Amino acid sequence: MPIVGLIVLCAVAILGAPRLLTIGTWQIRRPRLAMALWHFLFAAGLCGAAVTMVWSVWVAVDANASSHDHNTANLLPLIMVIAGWASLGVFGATIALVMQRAETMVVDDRDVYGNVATLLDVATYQTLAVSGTKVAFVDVQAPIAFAAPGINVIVISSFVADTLSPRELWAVIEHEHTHLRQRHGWSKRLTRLNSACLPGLMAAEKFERATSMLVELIADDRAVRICGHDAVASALHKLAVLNGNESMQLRADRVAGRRCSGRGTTALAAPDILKALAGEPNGL
Amino acid sequence: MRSSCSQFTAVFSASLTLNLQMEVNVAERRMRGELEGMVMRILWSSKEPLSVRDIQADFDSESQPAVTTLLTVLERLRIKGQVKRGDAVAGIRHYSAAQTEPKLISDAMLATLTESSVRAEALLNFAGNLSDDDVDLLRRALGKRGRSASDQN
Repeated sequence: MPIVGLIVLCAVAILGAPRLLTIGTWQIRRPRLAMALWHFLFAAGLCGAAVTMVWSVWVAVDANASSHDHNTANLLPLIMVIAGWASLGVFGATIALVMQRAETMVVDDRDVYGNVATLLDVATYQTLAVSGTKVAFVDVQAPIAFAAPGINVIVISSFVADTLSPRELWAVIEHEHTHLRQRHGWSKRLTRLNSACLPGLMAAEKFERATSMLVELIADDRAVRICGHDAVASALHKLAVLNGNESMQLRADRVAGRRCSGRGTTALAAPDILKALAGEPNGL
Repeated sequence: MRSSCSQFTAVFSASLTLNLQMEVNVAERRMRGELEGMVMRILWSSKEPLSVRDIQADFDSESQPAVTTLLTVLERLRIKGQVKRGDAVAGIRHYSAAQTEPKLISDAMLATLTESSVRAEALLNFAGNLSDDDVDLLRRALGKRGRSASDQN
């Protein structure tokens, strides 16, 4: 009977979580809570599956042992032993699948980080340490800003540096710094691996999509707490216009809307070192 | 029997010819690519625009391509936008690289990083990677319809 309960728990975690966590729009207001719930239910599903397997093996071993002592029905121990071995087989196959998918992902990621390293070699014109993280400014005339978690570096193009004010530039850096600091790269890797192992499963796709969106909102919110609503909203708005990216504009509207509702903290001044780099020396 | 045997021979030899032709084309393309790369390296290493004879002189004496071959390569690179051709002075044209080597490499790197969504997943881009469903959810949360109000202004 406990096994049935565990199987129900797994089913709820796999099928129920995506439905439960995508009801309404509360995730946009509470992205950290939503992210924590997604990962808690994912972990609960994994633990449930692992415990179910261990339990079935234990029951099989126990049934096998007890069949010598008592008058157990002849077929029951056989079925239990087969079920136990089948569980071990599924476990082994799962491990093999995860390892194979993870290896492909690691090779792809390493390739991308190699490309980033080459880009840094040939195009970096300035490097800074902001909040303890290396920020590389590359001579590229395109609106590009990203964090590369594998090599722990934030890359900002000269176009972005020239376009934004020091406080806006700082907001972008703090946004990217949040990704590195809170290990968002690992969260995204986990969901990518999950999707790669369970292709076509709606729950896995929703988990991956939700994580991609929630990490951006969490990073926006932390940048707001450090740099203020105006700097983050303005940086998002300018880059949304340059990229023609509607989702960035909506993120800017969300941040600006939070200022009206009184959430957030007083902004700090941008570090002096950024004033020399950014396009508008007087800030916002 | 003899007829089917000769048909088989004809088809086999045609397929062999096609394969050989394809191999020759691949080898030719590779050689052409290598030659273009070598010409670009010579142009990048020179501070001044170079004539075809100058470029030819920079090759090893054993592997010097003919002037006509170099002219073809330079014309192909000019069409691709990688080489600039100057006006003729005393009947001699000079060529220079349209972009510096670091610029060309950084553009190529950025293209691989930004054009492929699978690769982009390894990076955490400030622009984010939100799906249409996420955009709809954001719109609903902000009480907006269609494109955001700021975009429409």
